[in-house]
Amino acid sequence: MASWNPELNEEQTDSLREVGNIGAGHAASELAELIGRKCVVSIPELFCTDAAGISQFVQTPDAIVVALHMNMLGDIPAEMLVLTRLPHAQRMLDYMSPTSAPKAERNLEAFQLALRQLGEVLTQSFADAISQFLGTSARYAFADASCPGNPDAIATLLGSSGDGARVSYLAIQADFFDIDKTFEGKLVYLLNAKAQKMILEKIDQILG
Amino acid sequence: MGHKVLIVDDSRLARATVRKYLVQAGLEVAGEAGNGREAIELFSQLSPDLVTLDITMPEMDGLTAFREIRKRAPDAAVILVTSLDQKFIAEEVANDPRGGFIPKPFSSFDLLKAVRRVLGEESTDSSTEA
Repeated sequence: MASWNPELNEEQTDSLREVGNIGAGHAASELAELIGRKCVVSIPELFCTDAAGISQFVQTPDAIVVALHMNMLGDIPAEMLVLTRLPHAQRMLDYMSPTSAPKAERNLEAFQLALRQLGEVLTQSFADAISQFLGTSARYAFADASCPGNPDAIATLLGSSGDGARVSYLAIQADFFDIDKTFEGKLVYLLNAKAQKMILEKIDQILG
Repeated sequence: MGHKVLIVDDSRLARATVRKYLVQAGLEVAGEAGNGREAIELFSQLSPDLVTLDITMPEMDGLTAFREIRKRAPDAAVILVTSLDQKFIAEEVANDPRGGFIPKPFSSFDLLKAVRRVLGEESTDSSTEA
């Protein structure tokens, strides 16, 4: 799984974790606004991984997962994944539209479209918050959604953006969930070596 | 301003950012803590004039620490500084004249405005607004 050692010192690890915290906190806050529930995040963790290894974030390999993928463009190119279980994705959509949420088993196409919108809200708010913090510009291109699928589909999603399956990433990962724990998911911010370096340079500038 | 501050955040980067803005404005950083439990210990030891408090932290989260500080010192000036920009956090300090809330990321202006409000110094001139 770990094919690239980013060689981060403690200070750099702390800085990247805080970047993840700011992004994930804002994504959870946008979700909270959308579904009318209190949402929180875990303390972010950093992993060195490749596309195939990211499927390990989904703890039970046979679980049916929903994976939403977005390419972040602009000053700091990166990729973003939102991972959750199918019933949890359904619950979030039910909270968004209590009487009219599309059901995966009845209308998969409408369900996937609604999920895509949910993924856009989460990933864009994550990217916007990071951009505001670092003083950079962000643009997005929502690439794809895999639903329902299995963890292997995640590698395919990343691979769909080019040579993704063979690229190594620094993954900054945070869990998001409502405080009653009726659903949970993972936000995974994927940086290549160049993006990681750019973020750390921006942080040096912030601290003067 | 000349007040003593306790900065609480599990991120060194976040603590450094808060410290930079507060020191530039003339405040004295009396101590720093990386979680809610340490925050309560240092609060008792240092009796700071102001606490800046993150929410998502290991061991004890900032909201739990805030409520504990409030029990011990109802008039302590405390600013919640968090990336969770949500109503339930804002409501925690909504009717609390010595409590404030600013979402991360924040500017020097945002932080110092909140500092002046919780310290009851809102009429102070704006020369510190970097």
